[in-house]
Amino acid sequence: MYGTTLSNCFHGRTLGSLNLTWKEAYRTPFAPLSPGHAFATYGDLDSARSAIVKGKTAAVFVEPVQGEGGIFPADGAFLSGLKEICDDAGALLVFDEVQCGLGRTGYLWGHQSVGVTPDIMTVAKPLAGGLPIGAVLTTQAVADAIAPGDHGSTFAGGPLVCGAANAVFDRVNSPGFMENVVKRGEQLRSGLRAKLEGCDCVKEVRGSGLLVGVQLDVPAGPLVGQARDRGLLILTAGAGDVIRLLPPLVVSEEEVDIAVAIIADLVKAL
Amino acid sequence: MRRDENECVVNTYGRALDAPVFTHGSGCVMWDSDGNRYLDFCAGIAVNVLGHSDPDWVEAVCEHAGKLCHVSNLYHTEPGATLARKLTDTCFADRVFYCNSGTEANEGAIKFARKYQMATAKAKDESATEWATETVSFRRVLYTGSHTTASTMWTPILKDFCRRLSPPTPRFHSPPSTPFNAN
Repeated sequence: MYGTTLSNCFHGRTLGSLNLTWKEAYRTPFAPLSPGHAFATYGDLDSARSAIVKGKTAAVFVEPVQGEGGIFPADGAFLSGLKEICDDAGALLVFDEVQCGLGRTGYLWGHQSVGVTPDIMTVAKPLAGGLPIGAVLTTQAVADAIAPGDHGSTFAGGPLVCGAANAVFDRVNSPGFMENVVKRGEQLRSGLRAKLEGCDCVKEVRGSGLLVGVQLDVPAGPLVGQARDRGLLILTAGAGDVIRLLPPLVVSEEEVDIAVAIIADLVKAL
Repeated sequence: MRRDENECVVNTYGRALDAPVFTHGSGCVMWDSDGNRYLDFCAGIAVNVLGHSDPDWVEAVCEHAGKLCHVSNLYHTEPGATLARKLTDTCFADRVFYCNSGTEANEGAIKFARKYQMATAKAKDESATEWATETVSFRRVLYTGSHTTASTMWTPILKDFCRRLSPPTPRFHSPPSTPFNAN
């Protein structure tokens, strides 16, 4: 017997982005939101084809690797099919790499793992290593449509924030950096799989690079406090039943072993 | 600290009153005000890719904080231009627009997409008054055996939620009537 849950895509909490963000609790207190948005089903090209309409759909937003929604690696066939649908409909394809961008997946950009390129990519979180920053990366064709005065931001692109971002980028893009992300990610996933084998409540360990999720069939929330009491900070994702692990990309082999051991102890005690 | 936060900060995060107060970090480790040590597998929600207080990052921040922090976008400065070249050299993109957060980036993308559609429509027909303005995003449907009972409870709530979204627009379609596990 099967049930279904709908898990969240997350694109932000300000009123425009809120239209794109699935979670009801984030949206309904602030209704009415803008009209003219549709949700389609990730992985389902028929659902995408029916939602993306020539002459109506300006842009299609998707996380190539879903983070908040439950940690799902990029689906190349879906993303490639989606790009074709967007191109046919004249809709711009936007990859939201706010969480999965800049090395998190073991590739510099998450979409590079499947070789599908968008028209626009949004990035933020890791870009300045802790200082507030965001960026919209576009093709020339999109940029050509933008004229002075169309958009702006007082704080954006300043020398301090971009100075920090240059330092981060130079490190992430340096030889050997990505190898650590890949190796530590594999160590984390294989370590968890080995230690959690036989645990009935563990459905799957999945992820890309150092974006790792442990799918449980019970709420993962209580584990956050328990892990903190054991000296480990973790997150949840999906419908609240996924343990989400997002260590710094410079995490060491020893630190991964420690985290695996603590998580395994706590999950086994569930 | 706790009193200041409890009395002066809008409570949007619901942090437990006795949750740790983090005071410093180094690499993948943070310490709280009681001296407890934590291994950080959150990285500030995927933000601190170099960990805490990375020496290269600190050096860059100190250098720029001591030279020039902010001038607004009325004027040229160098680091943003240099970064834009690095970003565009390493992916499909040709141009970069800077903002201050992920939600701002997505808001900017919505605006850019609408302007692009307008420009495209007018390039075909100068007198065009309509063009594509709408957006699509994705939710993921998970099929799980163990969620059946809980999921079934939520079906009437999902249907009610769809009815309450008003006004329904021509392009809005209700999600399929599958159970919804709201958390």
